[in-house]
Amino acid sequence: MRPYPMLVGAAFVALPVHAQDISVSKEAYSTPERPYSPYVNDHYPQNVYFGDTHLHTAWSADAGMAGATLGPDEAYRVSRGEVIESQAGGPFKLLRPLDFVVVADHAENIGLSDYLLRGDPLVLQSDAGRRWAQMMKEGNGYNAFIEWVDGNGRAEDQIDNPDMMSSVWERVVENA
Amino acid sequence: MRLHAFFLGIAVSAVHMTPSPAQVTTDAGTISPEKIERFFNQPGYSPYAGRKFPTLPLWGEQHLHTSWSPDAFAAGTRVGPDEALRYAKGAEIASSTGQPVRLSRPYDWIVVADHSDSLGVISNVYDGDPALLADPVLKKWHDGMKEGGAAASAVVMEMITLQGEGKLPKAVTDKDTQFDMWRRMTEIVESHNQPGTFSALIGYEWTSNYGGGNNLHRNVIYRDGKAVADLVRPLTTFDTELPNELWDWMANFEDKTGSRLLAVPHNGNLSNGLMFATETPDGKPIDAEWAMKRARFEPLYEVTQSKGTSEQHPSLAPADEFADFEIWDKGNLNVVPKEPGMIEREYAREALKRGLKLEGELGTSPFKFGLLGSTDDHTGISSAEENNFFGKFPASEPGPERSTGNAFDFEGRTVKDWQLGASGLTAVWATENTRAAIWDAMKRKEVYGTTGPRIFVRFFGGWDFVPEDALGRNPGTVGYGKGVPMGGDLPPAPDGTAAPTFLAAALKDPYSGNLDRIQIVKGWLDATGETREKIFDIAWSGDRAPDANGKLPPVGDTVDVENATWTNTIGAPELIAVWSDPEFDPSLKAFYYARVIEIPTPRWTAYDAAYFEDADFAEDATMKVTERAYTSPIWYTPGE
Repeated sequence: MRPYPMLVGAAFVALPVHAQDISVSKEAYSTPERPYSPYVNDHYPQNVYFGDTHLHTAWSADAGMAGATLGPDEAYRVSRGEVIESQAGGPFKLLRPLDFVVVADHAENIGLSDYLLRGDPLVLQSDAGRRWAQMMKEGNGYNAFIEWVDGNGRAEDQIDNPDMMSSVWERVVENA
Repeated sequence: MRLHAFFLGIAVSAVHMTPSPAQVTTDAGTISPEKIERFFNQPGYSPYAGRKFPTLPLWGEQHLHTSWSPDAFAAGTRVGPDEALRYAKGAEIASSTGQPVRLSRPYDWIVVADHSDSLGVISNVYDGDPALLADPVLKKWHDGMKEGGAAASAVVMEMITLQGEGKLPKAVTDKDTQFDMWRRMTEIVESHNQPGTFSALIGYEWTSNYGGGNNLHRNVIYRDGKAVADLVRPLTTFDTELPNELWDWMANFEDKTGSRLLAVPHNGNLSNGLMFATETPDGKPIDAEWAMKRARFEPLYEVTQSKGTSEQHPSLAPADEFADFEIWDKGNLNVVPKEPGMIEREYAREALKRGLKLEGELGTSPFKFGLLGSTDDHTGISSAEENNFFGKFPASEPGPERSTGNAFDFEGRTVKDWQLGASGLTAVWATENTRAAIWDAMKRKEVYGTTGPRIFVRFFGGWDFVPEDALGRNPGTVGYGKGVPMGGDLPPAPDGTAAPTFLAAALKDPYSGNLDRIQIVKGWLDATGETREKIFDIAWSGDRAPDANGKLPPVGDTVDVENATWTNTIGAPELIAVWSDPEFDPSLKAFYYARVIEIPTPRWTAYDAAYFEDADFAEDATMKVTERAYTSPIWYTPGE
C-alpha cells in the first residue's frame, strides 16, 4: 500500500509541469461568486421529514386475526392527518400529519383477516381458510386466531396459496 | 370494546408461544371518565381528534408588487406575477438585477397586490401586446424600452412628463384596458392557487395619495376566486381618491356578487396626519356611518413594512423602550415635512386608543383593527429576511450602491436606502390552507404581524386562566377552551371575577434570534375620558428581575456587526405565561395586545457591509435590529 499513495502524490506535483494542453494562471482562475441570497444553489436537504417505517394494520395476521379492524387505507389516512375511529379508544388524530409512512405488515399470511371477513374465494380454497371464515362468521374469531397463532408458531403456512399471496401483494401496492 | 383491547394485549406475545385460553387473563386496561378528564375539553383519549381550531399559523404577506405595477416597471422591475408567485412557493428565480434569489422557506399564501391604476399596462407594452401597440406613443415606448439604455430612460422621463401634463395615452387610464388586464392578472393568480398547500389570494392596491403624497393606500383582498373577482372592475384613483368611496365600491361588489372583500390600509406614517384622522381627507367630520363602514371593511392594519413600522411613535410613548423601531417620520410619500399634530394620527396604537373614545361618540370604533405585517416590495420578490433582503425597488436590490443610495428623493428631500426595513410578514391562524379560510381568519382578526421572522405566537384572553394553564404543551387547547383568541372581544365578566386573564405563548423562529420577552400592551380610556397606555413585561428569558421601578434589564447583545453574526447564547427559545391585569377597572374600556421581542440580531445593513467590499454606510446607519411580533388585540367593553 505504501508506494501507491506516493505515486499519486507525485502525479499531482507533476501535473502543472506537464499538462501544457490547459494552462490556467492563478490570476485567471476565478472562484464563482457566492450569491447574495443565502438560500440559492442549496443542493443539500433543506428539510427534515418525519415518518414511521414500521406500522402494522389489520392486514398483519397477528393484528387482524386478533381483532384489529383498521386496514392500510385507514392507516394511510391517519398518517396524513385525518381523524379516524380507532378500534377501542375512540377517535384518533395525530398532532401533525406524518411526511411519510411505510405500512409494513407481516408477510406471513398478509391480508388474511380481510380475506376471511370478505369470504374471498381465494382464501376459501384452503381447509383452514374455510374453517376460520366460518368461525369468524359465528362470532368465534378468537378461536380462529388461536389456531392461526398456533400454526404460525410452528412456521406453518396454513393457507399456502400462492395465488392469494400475489393477489394480496397487488392490493398492498395499490393501497400505497 | 373491552374484548378488543384484551385481544390486542396478548397478540404480540402469543405469536411466539403456544397459547391456551387459560393463559389469557390479563386486561389491557380501560378508559375511565376520570382519565379522560385530564385532557381538557377533549372528546376522547386522542387530544387532537375532534379539534376544530387552527393549529398552525400560515405564513405569507398581502402586499407584494410585481412588474405589473407601473411604478415598479418604470423602476426596472421585470419580475411579473407568475415568477413572483413561483418564488413565494419556494422556487429559485432571477431578480430584475439578474441575481439568483430564494426564500429560506416557502410561504403558505400570498396576495400579489399590484396597483390598480394602470395595472399591467406598461409591462404589457414592453412585452409587445398588439392591442396596446396600436397606440403610436405606446409603440414608441415599447421600442425605446426594448432598445434599453438612454432610449429606455427617455421613455420613463416621457411617462412622468405626460402624467404631469395629464396627457398620458388613453390606454394607460382606460377602464376597459384596466379590466382586461385585471382578468389576465386573476388568471395568473388562479393558476397558482393550490387549496391545502398554497393559497394565492386575489387582490389589488388602491393607491390614493390624497392631496399629494399623503398615503391613504389600501390593499383590497378577495375571499373568492377569479370567477367572482372578474365580475367587477377594480377601483382606481382615477375613479376616486376618497377611502369612503372605496368602501362604497366594496359594498357594491358584495351586493352584486354575494362574495366578500376586506381592505388593509398601510403606512399611516407617510399619510401626514390623514390615516387615522377624525375628519375625512376632504375635511368633513367623520360620522357614525363612516365609522361603521370603516370597521366593517377594514378589520386589519399593516403595522410594519419596508417603508417603516407604524406601531407607535417614540414621542407618543416615552416609557416604551422598544417604540423607536424602523421609524419613518420625515414626511409623507413626497417627503413633505410633517406639521405638529400629524404624528398623533399616524400610528396604530394611538389609533386603537382613539377608537375607544370614538366608539363612545359614534357608536362604533372605526379603528378597531387587528395587526399584520407585509413587505410592499416592488421587486416581485417578497423579502423580509435580514440576510436575504432584496430591497424595495431594483435600485435597492443587493449591491454596494444601496449603502449610499436614496429610496426617496423629492426636490432634495431624501430618505436613504439603508432606512428601508427588511419587514414584514403575516401569520394567519386559519383552520386550513385555503383562500376562504385565510380570508375568514383575517376578517375575525385572528392574525398577527412580524418584522420578518416566523415567530409562533398564541394569545388568548378570558376570565379564568390560571398559572397552571401555562404548563402544558397545548396552549391552543386551553386557550380556545377557556377564552377568546387574538382579534376577539372578551365576553362579559362572570360574577365574582376580578380581572381579565391572558395566556400568551411564543416560540422562536429556528432561523432567527432567541426571544427576549413577551409584553402585553394595554390601552384604555380612563375615568376622565382620556386615552392611556401601559406596557407590561409578562415573560422573559433568564433570571433577570425587574428593578425597583418595575423595569426589566435588557437581555444583552451578542451581535458581531463586522461579521454579521450573533449567538443564541442569550434569550429563550420559547416563552409562555398567564397574566392577569393588576390595574383592571371593570368600568373602563380597554384593549390588550401581545408584543414578542427577539434578542438583537444583525440588520440587513450589517449583512451588506460584510458582503460588499465597496459598501459605504453612513455612521448613523443602523446595523442591529430587535425583531418582533405584534398580535391583534383583544378588547374589553364594560357591560351595560
